[in-house]
Amino acid sequence: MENDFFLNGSALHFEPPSSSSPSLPTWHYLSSAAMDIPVSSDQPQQQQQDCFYNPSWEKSTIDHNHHHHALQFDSALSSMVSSPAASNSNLSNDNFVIRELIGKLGSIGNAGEISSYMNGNNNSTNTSCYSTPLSSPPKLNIPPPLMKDKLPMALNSSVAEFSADPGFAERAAKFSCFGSRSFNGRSSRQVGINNNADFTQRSSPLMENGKLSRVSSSPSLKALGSQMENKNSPLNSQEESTISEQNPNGESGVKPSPPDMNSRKRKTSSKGKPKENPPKAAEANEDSSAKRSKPNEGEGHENGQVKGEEESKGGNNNGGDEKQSKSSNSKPPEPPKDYIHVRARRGQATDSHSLAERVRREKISERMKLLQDLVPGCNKVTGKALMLDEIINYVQSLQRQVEFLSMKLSSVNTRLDVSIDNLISKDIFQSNNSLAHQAAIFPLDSSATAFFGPNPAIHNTIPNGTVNHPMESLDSALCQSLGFQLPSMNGFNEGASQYPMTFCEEDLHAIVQMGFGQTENRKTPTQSPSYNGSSQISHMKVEL
Amino acid sequence: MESLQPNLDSIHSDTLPPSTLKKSTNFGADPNDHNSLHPVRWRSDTERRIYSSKLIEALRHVLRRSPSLPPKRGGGHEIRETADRVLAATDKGRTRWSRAILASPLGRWRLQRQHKKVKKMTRGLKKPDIRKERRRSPALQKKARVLGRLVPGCRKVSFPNLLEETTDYISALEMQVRAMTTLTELLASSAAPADRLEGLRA
Repeated sequence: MENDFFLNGSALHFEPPSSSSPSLPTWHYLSSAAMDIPVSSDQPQQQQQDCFYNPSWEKSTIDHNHHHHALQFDSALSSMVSSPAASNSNLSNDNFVIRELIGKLGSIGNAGEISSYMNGNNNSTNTSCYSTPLSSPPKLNIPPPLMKDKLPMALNSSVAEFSADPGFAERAAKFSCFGSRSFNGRSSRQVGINNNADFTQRSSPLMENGKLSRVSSSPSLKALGSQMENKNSPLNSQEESTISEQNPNGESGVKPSPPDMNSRKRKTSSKGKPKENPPKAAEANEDSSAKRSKPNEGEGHENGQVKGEEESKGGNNNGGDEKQSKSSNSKPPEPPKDYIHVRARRGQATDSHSLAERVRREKISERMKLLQDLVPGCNKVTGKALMLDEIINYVQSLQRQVEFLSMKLSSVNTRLDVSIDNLISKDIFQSNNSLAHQAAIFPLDSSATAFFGPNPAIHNTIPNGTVNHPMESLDSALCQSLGFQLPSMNGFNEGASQYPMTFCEEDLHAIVQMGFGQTENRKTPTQSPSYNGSSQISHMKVEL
Repeated sequence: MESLQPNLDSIHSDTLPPSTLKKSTNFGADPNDHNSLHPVRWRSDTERRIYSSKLIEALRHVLRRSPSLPPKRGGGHEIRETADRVLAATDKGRTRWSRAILASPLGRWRLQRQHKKVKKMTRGLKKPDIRKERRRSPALQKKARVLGRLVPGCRKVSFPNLLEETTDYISALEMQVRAMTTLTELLASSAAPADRLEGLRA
């Protein structure tokens, strides 16, 4: 460990100041074997590496990179910062170098915090490298929230965990720069992609290193857009850089804040992994980083998926964050769907599937409520199954009523070929109005015909200006037809039980005694308590 | 009598929940404007009058066509189908069930009965999607199927749409029953004295 650090430290000072790629040999030595990273990839990257490991060139490189890759620089720098912090007791050289770097960083804005943090760390800890990983993470947790706008906390924590291997940390920093570049180019392509198919791609498991998984998930998350907004939390230099590239107008300042909150939580969950085996993690990191160089999309997708699952599991915690992340992530391109965009509520899963299901459920419950109001007696019933039963019964009863009425009409019509014409000519529209009014007052209900049998007196309809004789005939005819009809209705016990017979009887008798002469007072025995038949009848009495 | 109408409105609005209160007060306005006013549309008097008049016309035509037809079960079915078709025509094809009724006017009920038996045989073999199975319990699914069969033309409709169709269908059926009842009463009452008179004469 210490040897490695010394080697790196020496590498720092061995960098020739002449060429623009002095640190490349050191980088290669450190990482090429494991990473296969193309050295000739990017100029700015090399410059960044330079500024990391060439304190003498810090100023120039910083000025160069400040406006372009400030975030990347910060992330790499933070790794540098943390690694020496972990092994501060061993090498004062590196600490000094880092302090210089920090001093330069002050121009970017984080120096003060870092320096204070560094000083505190240097003074407090004086243990071996191996012990520092345990102590540094908690300390790292504090400053990251302060520097959340600039430094990726995940990177800090994970780097601190690997601080036992400072060289590894450097490598990680380098990866962050490298990854951000590739992701930048990739994210623009992925923006248009907006399918759930991305999830399937993500399922490819490459979760050897929690840190790297988070890193690589940023572009996929960007692509997924609002659906995966809650998973855009991986705070990485890559993510920030991608964000800055996509939305250079200042979103980077906005984005890191909500993801940081999520990342804080995620750190606690995923920190256990790297903590357990720091030495192994180094190798795993290298391996995963090597793989990462190839299919970054797959990794990103898978990591995004994993994060999504984490999020959904910890949905309660992230409820507020989801809202913020959603609000902040609404700026990135929304999924090009023609669906109604649903926002996950607090404490609810934010899976796209569950969102769609929730929408469906709400639609269904809305319609069930409407039906509940329509079908009498459904207020007491709870549950979809019972409600459906009631609805089915009601529809069946209505259809039977129609059938019965049509039969009646047919029986009546055969005798009334002539009278129909007469009625059409004069009475129909006139009496229809009155009848309609009266009929509307007593809306028909499902078990209406059930009343016919026991209360034939209900049908005391007084025709216009006629004697009561036709009533009897009507009653007899009705009773006959009802007697036929009743057996079929008796099976319909649920509806019948809802309508107290005594209630109708009293009202009907009252109506009959009133003796309406002019207008027909036809009380259809289809009242339900919910309709307040008595009040209607009283209205009738008052008005007429 | 006209004063009854506002009372009617108030009565209906009392029973309806506040969500539909706004809709129910829209009686005077054209009820055919919005599809969302499903249940209220059928409760309006204008709709009832329209339906009644159309029904009378249709019945007249039916009777004219076969005036000597003796009253039998077939006659009842004819009138029933006529009434249903008139109801669907009044709906002007806005809802699925109305279109289904208009599309298959010939012996709809007989065909339906045959379909019921056939459906029962085949449904047992059909396996629902895993997703849908998760969402709807089999009991609910069965009931949804039954309801789909009851409402014309809604056998393979999704559950939420089915509920919507049912809402409209129930209110339409209610209106139909009301109109037919009044019509029956009216005709019966007007016919009875004629019979009586004939009986007296004879």
